[in-house]
Amino acid sequence: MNYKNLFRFALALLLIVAGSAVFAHGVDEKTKAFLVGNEGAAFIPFLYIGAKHMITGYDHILFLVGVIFFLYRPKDILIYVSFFTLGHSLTLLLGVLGNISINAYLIDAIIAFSIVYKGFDNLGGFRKIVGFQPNMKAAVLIFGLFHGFGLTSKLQDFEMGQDGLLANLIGFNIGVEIGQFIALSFVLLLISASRHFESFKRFSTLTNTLLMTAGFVLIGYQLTGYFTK
Amino acid sequence: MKDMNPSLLTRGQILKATLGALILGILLFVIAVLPAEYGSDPLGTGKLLGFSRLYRPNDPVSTIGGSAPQAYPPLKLEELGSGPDVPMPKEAQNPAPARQFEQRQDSITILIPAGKGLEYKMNILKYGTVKYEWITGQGILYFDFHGEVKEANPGKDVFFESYTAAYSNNMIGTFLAPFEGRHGWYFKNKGETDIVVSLRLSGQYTL
Repeated sequence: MNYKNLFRFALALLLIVAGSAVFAHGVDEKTKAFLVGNEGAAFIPFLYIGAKHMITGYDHILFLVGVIFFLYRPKDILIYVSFFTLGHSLTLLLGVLGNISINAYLIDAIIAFSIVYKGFDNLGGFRKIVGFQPNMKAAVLIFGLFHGFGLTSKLQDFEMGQDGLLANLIGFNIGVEIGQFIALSFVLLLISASRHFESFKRFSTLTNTLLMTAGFVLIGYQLTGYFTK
Repeated sequence: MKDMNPSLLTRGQILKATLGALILGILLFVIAVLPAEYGSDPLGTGKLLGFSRLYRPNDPVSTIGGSAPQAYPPLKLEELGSGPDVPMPKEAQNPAPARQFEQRQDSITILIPAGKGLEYKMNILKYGTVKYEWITGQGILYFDFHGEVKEANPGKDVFFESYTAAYSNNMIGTFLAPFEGRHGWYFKNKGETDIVVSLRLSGQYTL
Protein backbone atom coordinates (compact mmCIF):
# COMPACT_ATOMS: atom_id res chain seq x y z
CA MET A 1 0.00 0.00 0.00
CA ASN A 2 2.60 2.45 1.14
CA TYR A 3 5.22 1.74 -1.38
CA LYS A 4 2.55 1.99 -3.98
CA ASN A 5 2.43 5.66 -3.08
CA LEU A 6 6.17 5.89 -3.25
CA PHE A 7 6.08 4.24 -6.62
CA ARG A 8 3.49 6.77 -7.81
CA PHE A 9 5.59 9.59 -6.48
CA ALA A 10 8.66 8.32 -8.26
CA LEU A 11 6.71 7.81 -11.45
CA ALA A 12 5.32 11.34 -11.23
CA LEU A 13 8.83 12.66 -10.69
CA LEU A 14 10.06 10.73 -13.69
CA LEU A 15 7.27 12.15 -15.82
CA ILE A 16 7.95 15.71 -14.71
CA VAL A 17 11.57 15.36 -15.61
CA ALA A 18 10.82 13.65 -18.88
CA GLY A 19 8.22 16.33 -19.58
CA SER A 20 10.79 19.07 -19.24
CA ALA A 21 12.93 17.27 -21.75
CA VAL A 22 13.96 19.35 -24.67
CA PHE A 23 14.06 17.56 -27.96
CA ALA A 24 17.30 19.11 -28.95
CA HIS A 25 20.13 17.51 -30.83
CA GLY A 26 18.10 17.40 -33.99
CA VAL A 27 20.53 17.69 -36.82
CA ASP A 28 19.92 20.98 -38.57
CA GLU A 29 19.08 20.52 -42.21
CA LYS A 30 22.27 21.54 -43.83
CA THR A 31 24.60 20.65 -41.06
CA LYS A 32 24.72 16.93 -41.29
CA ALA A 33 27.81 17.10 -43.43
CA PHE A 34 29.44 19.34 -40.86
CA LEU A 35 28.88 17.32 -37.75
CA VAL A 36 32.20 17.27 -36.04
CA GLY A 37 33.51 14.57 -33.81
CA ASN A 38 32.30 11.05 -33.94
CA GLU A 39 31.02 10.02 -37.31
CA GLY A 40 30.32 6.41 -37.83
CA ALA A 41 30.61 3.42 -35.61
CA ALA A 42 33.32 3.39 -32.97
CA PHE A 43 32.36 0.45 -30.83
CA ILE A 44 35.52 -0.02 -28.81
CA PRO A 45 36.06 3.66 -27.97
CA PHE A 46 32.50 3.91 -26.71
CA LEU A 47 32.96 0.72 -24.74
CA TYR A 48 35.92 2.37 -23.09
CA ILE A 49 34.04 5.62 -22.47
CA GLY A 50 31.21 3.71 -20.81
CA ALA A 51 33.51 1.73 -18.56
CA LYS A 52 35.53 4.80 -17.66
CA HIS A 53 32.44 6.80 -16.87
CA MET A 54 31.23 4.12 -14.50
CA ILE A 55 34.56 3.70 -12.72
CA THR A 56 35.22 7.42 -12.35
CA GLY A 57 31.58 8.41 -11.90
CA TYR A 58 31.37 8.22 -8.17
CA ASP A 59 27.70 9.09 -7.95
CA HIS A 60 26.80 5.76 -9.53
CA ILE A 61 29.32 3.94 -7.38
CA LEU A 62 28.16 5.59 -4.13
CA PHE A 63 24.64 4.46 -4.91
CA LEU A 64 25.83 0.94 -5.57
CA VAL A 65 27.80 0.94 -2.32
CA GLY A 66 24.53 1.75 -0.60
CA VAL A 67 22.65 -0.92 -2.49
CA ILE A 68 24.98 -3.81 -1.77
CA PHE A 69 25.99 -2.68 1.68
CA PHE A 70 23.95 -5.24 3.56
CA LEU A 71 23.93 -7.90 0.88
CA TYR A 72 26.35 -10.71 1.27
CA ARG A 73 24.69 -13.57 -0.54
CA PRO A 74 25.98 -13.59 -4.13
CA LYS A 75 22.45 -14.35 -5.32
CA ASP A 76 21.05 -11.20 -3.69
CA ILE A 77 23.84 -9.07 -5.04
CA LEU A 78 23.18 -10.44 -8.50
CA ILE A 79 19.44 -9.74 -8.22
CA TYR A 80 19.84 -6.16 -7.02
CA VAL A 81 22.57 -5.29 -9.48
CA SER A 82 20.42 -6.79 -12.24
CA PHE A 83 17.54 -4.51 -11.27
CA PHE A 84 19.86 -1.53 -11.37
CA THR A 85 21.28 -2.61 -14.72
CA LEU A 86 17.82 -3.19 -16.17
CA GLY A 87 16.73 0.26 -15.02
CA HIS A 88 19.63 2.25 -16.37
CA SER A 89 19.91 0.30 -19.61
CA LEU A 90 16.24 0.93 -20.36
CA THR A 91 16.46 4.68 -20.02
CA LEU A 92 19.87 4.86 -21.64
CA LEU A 93 18.56 3.16 -24.78
CA LEU A 94 15.29 5.08 -24.67
CA GLY A 95 17.02 8.39 -24.08
CA VAL A 96 19.60 8.10 -26.82
CA LEU A 97 17.45 6.44 -29.46
CA GLY A 98 14.53 8.77 -28.71
CA ASN A 99 16.85 11.77 -28.73
CA ILE A 100 15.55 12.76 -25.33
CA SER A 101 17.78 15.31 -23.73
CA ILE A 102 17.13 16.01 -20.09
CA ASN A 103 18.81 18.67 -18.06
CA ALA A 104 21.94 16.96 -16.76
CA TYR A 105 21.96 18.96 -13.51
CA LEU A 106 18.43 17.92 -12.65
CA ILE A 107 19.09 14.28 -13.39
CA ASP A 108 22.34 14.30 -11.46
CA ALA A 109 20.57 15.92 -8.52
CA ILE A 110 18.10 13.03 -8.50
CA ILE A 111 21.00 10.57 -8.73
CA ALA A 112 22.53 12.34 -5.73
CA PHE A 113 19.19 12.02 -3.96
CA SER A 114 19.24 8.29 -4.62
CA ILE A 115 22.45 8.11 -2.57
CA VAL A 116 20.83 9.91 0.35
CA TYR A 117 17.81 7.66 0.04
CA LYS A 118 19.87 4.48 0.13
CA GLY A 119 21.98 5.67 3.08
CA PHE A 120 18.85 6.50 5.04
CA ASP A 121 17.36 3.16 4.07
CA ASN A 122 20.47 1.31 5.23
CA LEU A 123 20.42 3.03 8.61
CA GLY A 124 16.92 1.63 9.07
CA GLY A 125 15.35 5.03 8.70
CA PHE A 126 12.31 3.88 6.80
CA ARG A 127 11.27 1.29 9.38
CA LYS A 128 12.18 3.22 12.48
CA ILE A 129 11.24 6.76 11.52
CA VAL A 130 8.95 6.74 8.51
CA GLY A 131 7.19 3.62 9.69
CA PHE A 132 7.19 1.55 6.54
CA GLN A 133 9.75 -0.10 4.37
CA PRO A 134 9.47 0.69 0.65
CA ASN A 135 10.23 -2.25 -1.59
CA MET A 136 13.99 -2.19 -1.97
CA LYS A 137 14.04 -3.86 -5.36
CA ALA A 138 11.49 -1.42 -6.75
CA ALA A 139 13.54 1.49 -5.40
CA VAL A 140 16.71 0.19 -7.03
CA LEU A 141 14.88 -0.28 -10.32
CA ILE A 142 13.32 3.20 -10.25
CA PHE A 143 16.55 4.93 -9.31
CA GLY A 144 18.22 2.82 -11.97
CA LEU A 145 15.92 4.49 -14.51
CA PHE A 146 17.17 7.92 -13.41
CA HIS A 147 20.79 6.81 -13.49
CA GLY A 148 20.15 5.74 -17.08
CA PHE A 149 19.03 9.23 -18.03
CA GLY A 150 22.23 10.50 -16.45
CA LEU A 151 24.18 8.15 -18.69
CA THR A 152 22.15 9.39 -21.66
CA SER A 153 23.23 12.96 -21.12
CA LYS A 154 26.88 11.88 -20.81
CA LEU A 155 26.70 10.00 -24.07
CA GLN A 156 24.94 12.87 -25.82
CA ASP A 157 27.84 15.12 -24.88
CA PHE A 158 29.73 13.33 -27.62
CA GLU A 159 27.41 14.61 -30.33
CA MET A 160 27.35 11.45 -32.30
CA GLY A 161 25.98 11.35 -35.78
CA GLN A 162 23.23 8.92 -36.66
CA ASP A 163 25.83 6.77 -38.39
CA GLY A 164 26.63 3.82 -36.23
CA LEU A 165 24.58 5.23 -33.40
CA LEU A 166 23.29 1.86 -32.31
CA ALA A 167 26.71 0.24 -32.33
CA ASN A 168 28.13 3.13 -30.32
CA LEU A 169 25.23 3.02 -27.92
CA ILE A 170 25.53 -0.70 -27.33
CA GLY A 171 29.28 -0.32 -26.92
CA PHE A 172 28.72 2.38 -24.33
CA ASN A 173 26.13 0.32 -22.50
CA ILE A 174 28.33 -2.78 -22.35
CA GLY A 175 31.18 -0.57 -21.23
CA VAL A 176 29.00 0.76 -18.43
CA GLU A 177 28.31 -2.77 -17.24
CA ILE A 178 31.99 -3.70 -17.41
CA GLY A 179 32.92 -0.60 -15.45
CA GLN A 180 30.19 -1.32 -12.95
CA PHE A 181 31.46 -4.86 -12.53
CA ILE A 182 35.00 -3.70 -11.91
CA ALA A 183 33.95 -1.01 -9.46
CA LEU A 184 31.61 -3.40 -7.66
CA SER A 185 34.36 -5.98 -7.27
CA PHE A 186 36.47 -3.50 -5.37
CA VAL A 187 33.59 -2.31 -3.25
CA LEU A 188 32.57 -5.87 -2.40
CA LEU A 189 36.10 -6.75 -1.46
CA LEU A 190 36.26 -3.82 0.95
CA ILE A 191 32.86 -4.40 2.48
CA SER A 192 33.39 -8.15 2.91
CA ALA A 193 36.73 -7.57 4.52
CA SER A 194 35.30 -5.06 6.96
CA ARG A 195 32.52 -7.45 8.01
CA HIS A 196 35.05 -9.49 9.94
CA PHE A 197 35.76 -6.67 12.30
CA GLU A 198 33.94 -6.09 15.54
CA SER A 199 33.43 -2.51 14.61
CA PHE A 200 31.28 -3.35 11.59
CA LYS A 201 28.18 -1.87 13.18
CA ARG A 202 29.89 1.42 13.90
CA PHE A 203 31.57 1.28 10.54
CA SER A 204 28.26 0.69 8.79
CA THR A 205 26.58 3.57 10.60
CA LEU A 206 29.47 5.85 9.75
CA THR A 207 29.62 4.72 6.13
CA ASN A 208 25.92 5.21 5.55
CA THR A 209 25.96 8.57 7.30
CA LEU A 210 28.83 9.63 5.04
CA LEU A 211 26.94 8.28 2.05
CA MET A 212 24.08 10.61 2.92
CA THR A 213 26.50 13.47 3.46
CA ALA A 214 28.02 12.94 0.03
CA GLY A 215 24.53 12.76 -1.43
CA PHE A 216 23.53 16.04 0.18
CA VAL A 217 26.68 17.77 -1.08
CA LEU A 218 26.05 16.49 -4.59
CA ILE A 219 22.41 17.60 -4.49
CA GLY A 220 23.56 21.10 -3.54
CA TYR A 221 26.17 21.09 -6.26
CA GLN A 222 23.81 19.94 -9.00
CA LEU A 223 20.88 22.13 -8.01
CA THR A 224 23.12 25.20 -7.88
CA GLY A 225 24.29 24.30 -11.35
CA TYR A 226 20.71 23.92 -12.49
CA PHE A 227 19.64 27.29 -11.18
CA THR A 228 22.70 29.29 -12.20
CA LYS A 229 23.61 27.87 -15.60
CA MET B 1 15.10 -9.34 3.41
CA LYS B 2 14.86 -7.89 6.86
CA ASP B 3 17.27 -10.27 8.52
CA MET B 4 19.84 -9.13 6.04
CA ASN B 5 19.70 -5.65 7.40
CA PRO B 6 18.88 -5.81 11.06
CA SER B 7 18.09 -2.36 12.26
CA LEU B 8 20.69 -2.02 14.94
CA LEU B 9 20.10 1.63 15.59
CA THR B 10 17.45 3.31 17.63
CA ARG B 11 15.14 5.93 16.22
CA GLY B 12 17.12 8.65 17.93
CA GLN B 13 20.41 7.44 16.55
CA ILE B 14 19.08 7.33 13.03
CA LEU B 15 17.67 10.84 13.34
CA LYS B 16 20.97 12.05 14.70
CA ALA B 17 22.90 10.42 11.86
CA THR B 18 20.56 11.84 9.22
CA LEU B 19 20.61 15.32 10.69
CA GLY B 20 24.37 15.10 11.10
CA ALA B 21 24.73 14.09 7.45
CA LEU B 22 22.53 16.97 6.36
CA ILE B 23 24.42 19.54 8.43
CA LEU B 24 27.82 18.21 7.41
CA GLY B 25 26.65 18.15 3.79
CA ILE B 26 25.45 21.75 3.91
CA LEU B 27 28.67 22.87 5.61
CA LEU B 28 30.86 21.15 3.03
CA PHE B 29 28.73 22.59 0.28
CA VAL B 30 28.85 26.16 1.55
CA ILE B 31 32.47 26.12 2.74
CA ALA B 32 34.08 24.31 -0.17
CA VAL B 33 31.83 23.43 -3.11
CA LEU B 34 30.15 26.80 -3.65
CA PRO B 35 33.41 28.81 -3.73
CA ALA B 36 35.36 26.20 -5.68
CA GLU B 37 32.75 25.35 -8.28
CA TYR B 38 30.57 28.42 -8.57
CA GLY B 39 32.72 31.28 -7.27
CA SER B 40 30.18 32.18 -4.62
CA ASP B 41 31.55 32.66 -1.14
CA PRO B 42 28.81 33.35 1.43
CA LEU B 43 30.96 32.68 4.53
CA GLY B 44 34.28 33.98 3.26
CA THR B 45 35.76 30.51 3.63
CA GLY B 46 36.62 30.33 -0.06
CA LYS B 47 38.97 33.22 0.28
CA LEU B 48 40.26 32.16 3.68
CA LEU B 49 41.01 28.56 2.75
CA GLY B 50 41.80 29.06 -0.89
CA PHE B 51 38.81 27.26 -2.44
CA SER B 52 37.99 30.35 -4.46
CA ARG B 53 41.24 30.01 -6.33
CA LEU B 54 39.97 26.76 -7.81
CA TYR B 55 37.09 28.54 -9.47
CA ARG B 56 37.47 29.21 -13.16
CA PRO B 57 34.48 31.06 -14.54
CA ASN B 58 34.83 30.14 -18.19
CA ASP B 59 35.24 26.45 -17.58
CA PRO B 60 32.08 24.74 -18.62
CA VAL B 61 31.26 22.98 -15.39
CA SER B 62 30.63 19.42 -16.29
CA THR B 63 28.59 17.19 -14.08
CA ILE B 64 30.54 15.96 -11.15
CA GLY B 65 30.21 12.30 -11.98
CA GLY B 66 31.10 12.87 -15.58
CA SER B 67 34.21 13.12 -17.58
CA ALA B 68 36.54 16.08 -17.44
CA PRO B 69 35.28 19.39 -18.84
CA GLN B 70 35.08 18.88 -22.54
CA ALA B 71 37.82 20.46 -24.59
CA TYR B 72 37.16 21.19 -28.22
CA PRO B 73 37.32 17.98 -30.17
CA PRO B 74 40.29 17.92 -32.55
CA LEU B 75 39.43 18.67 -36.14
CA LYS B 76 40.74 16.21 -38.70
CA LEU B 77 41.69 16.56 -42.31
CA GLU B 78 39.08 13.96 -43.23
CA GLU B 79 36.30 16.27 -42.05
CA LEU B 80 37.07 18.89 -44.66
CA GLY B 81 34.40 19.48 -47.24
CA SER B 82 31.70 17.14 -48.41
CA GLY B 83 33.96 14.10 -48.47
CA PRO B 84 35.34 11.85 -51.22
CA ASP B 85 31.93 10.49 -52.24
CA VAL B 86 30.66 13.77 -53.62
CA PRO B 87 32.42 14.72 -56.87
CA MET B 88 33.22 18.31 -57.62
CA PRO B 89 30.66 19.63 -60.16
CA LYS B 90 32.02 20.31 -63.63
CA GLU B 91 30.83 23.92 -63.37
CA ALA B 92 33.78 24.52 -61.07
CA GLN B 93 36.00 24.37 -64.18
CA ASN B 94 34.12 27.18 -65.94
CA PRO B 95 36.31 30.12 -66.92
CA ALA B 96 36.24 33.30 -64.86
CA PRO B 97 33.89 36.04 -66.11
CA ALA B 98 35.21 39.23 -67.66
CA ARG B 99 33.55 41.38 -65.04
CA GLN B 100 33.19 40.72 -61.33
CA PHE B 101 30.30 41.86 -59.13
CA GLU B 102 30.34 45.51 -58.11
CA GLN B 103 32.55 46.36 -55.16
CA ARG B 104 30.47 46.78 -52.00
CA GLN B 105 30.65 46.81 -48.22
CA ASP B 106 28.35 45.45 -45.56
CA SER B 107 28.14 45.15 -41.80
CA ILE B 108 25.92 42.37 -40.58
CA THR B 109 25.11 40.92 -37.18
CA ILE B 110 23.97 37.34 -36.90
CA LEU B 111 22.55 35.66 -33.83
CA ILE B 112 23.63 32.08 -33.33
CA PRO B 113 21.30 30.58 -30.72
CA ALA B 114 22.77 28.28 -28.09
CA GLY B 115 23.28 24.80 -29.44
CA LYS B 116 22.36 25.77 -33.01
CA GLY B 117 24.20 26.06 -36.28
CA LEU B 118 23.64 28.74 -38.93
CA GLU B 119 25.06 29.57 -42.33
CA TYR B 120 25.82 32.94 -43.79
CA LYS B 121 26.80 33.05 -47.43
CA MET B 122 27.75 35.42 -50.25
CA ASN B 123 27.42 34.99 -54.02
CA ILE B 124 30.86 35.41 -55.57
CA LEU B 125 31.94 34.87 -59.17
CA LYS B 126 35.03 32.89 -60.04
CA TYR B 127 38.16 34.77 -58.90
CA GLY B 128 36.11 37.46 -57.18
CA THR B 129 37.78 38.77 -54.03
CA VAL B 130 36.37 39.64 -50.64
CA LYS B 131 37.92 40.92 -47.42
CA TYR B 132 36.19 39.82 -44.30
CA GLU B 133 36.20 40.21 -40.56
CA TRP B 134 33.99 38.62 -37.96
CA ILE B 135 34.01 38.68 -34.19
CA THR B 136 31.71 37.28 -31.55
CA GLY B 137 30.28 39.37 -28.75
CA GLN B 138 31.33 36.72 -26.31
CA GLY B 139 32.15 33.07 -26.67
CA ILE B 140 33.76 30.64 -29.06
CA LEU B 141 32.10 29.26 -32.16
CA TYR B 142 32.91 26.34 -34.35
CA PHE B 143 32.98 27.54 -37.94
CA ASP B 144 33.52 26.08 -41.36
CA PHE B 145 34.36 28.65 -44.02
CA HIS B 146 33.34 26.92 -47.22
CA GLY B 147 31.88 27.29 -50.68
CA GLU B 148 29.38 25.52 -52.89
CA VAL B 149 29.68 25.49 -56.67
CA LYS B 150 26.85 27.10 -58.62
CA GLU B 151 25.28 24.19 -60.46
CA ALA B 152 22.66 24.03 -63.20
CA ASN B 153 21.31 20.72 -61.85
CA PRO B 154 22.37 20.20 -58.26
CA GLY B 155 22.41 16.54 -57.25
CA LYS B 156 21.20 15.01 -54.03
CA ASP B 157 24.49 15.40 -52.21
CA VAL B 158 25.71 18.93 -52.46
CA PHE B 159 29.41 19.33 -53.01
CA PHE B 160 31.15 21.87 -50.85
CA GLU B 161 34.74 22.75 -50.28
CA SER B 162 35.97 23.75 -46.83
CA TYR B 163 38.54 26.53 -46.83
CA THR B 164 39.01 26.82 -43.09
CA ALA B 165 37.38 25.12 -40.12
CA ALA B 166 38.28 26.04 -36.56
CA TYR B 167 37.08 27.12 -33.16
CA SER B 168 37.41 30.84 -32.70
CA ASN B 169 35.82 34.06 -31.54
CA ASN B 170 37.41 36.18 -34.25
CA MET B 171 38.67 35.86 -37.81
CA ILE B 172 39.89 38.12 -40.61
CA GLY B 173 41.16 37.38 -44.08
CA THR B 174 41.01 37.89 -47.81
CA PHE B 175 39.29 35.43 -50.05
CA LEU B 176 39.72 34.63 -53.76
CA ALA B 177 36.80 32.49 -54.89
CA PRO B 178 38.03 29.32 -56.66
CA PHE B 179 34.72 28.89 -58.47
CA GLU B 180 31.42 30.68 -58.93
CA GLY B 181 28.93 29.93 -56.20
CA ARG B 182 27.89 30.63 -52.66
CA HIS B 183 30.70 31.05 -50.20
CA GLY B 184 30.50 31.75 -46.50
CA TRP B 185 30.49 30.49 -42.97
CA TYR B 186 28.73 27.77 -41.16
CA PHE B 187 28.71 28.75 -37.48
CA LYS B 188 27.90 26.31 -34.74
CA ASN B 189 27.29 27.50 -31.21
CA LYS B 190 28.11 24.62 -28.89
CA GLY B 191 27.71 26.68 -25.76
CA GLU B 192 24.73 27.30 -23.56
CA THR B 193 24.25 30.99 -24.31
CA ASP B 194 23.37 32.70 -27.56
CA ILE B 195 26.26 34.30 -29.43
CA VAL B 196 26.13 37.35 -31.67
CA VAL B 197 28.53 37.49 -34.61
CA SER B 198 29.42 40.86 -36.13
CA LEU B 199 30.49 40.39 -39.71
CA ARG B 200 32.12 42.99 -41.95
CA LEU B 201 32.55 42.41 -45.66
CA SER B 202 34.21 44.35 -48.43
CA GLY B 203 34.61 43.08 -51.95
CA GLN B 204 33.05 41.70 -55.12
CA TYR B 205 29.95 39.85 -54.01
CA THR B 206 26.18 39.99 -53.73
CA LEU B 207 24.11 38.88 -50.75
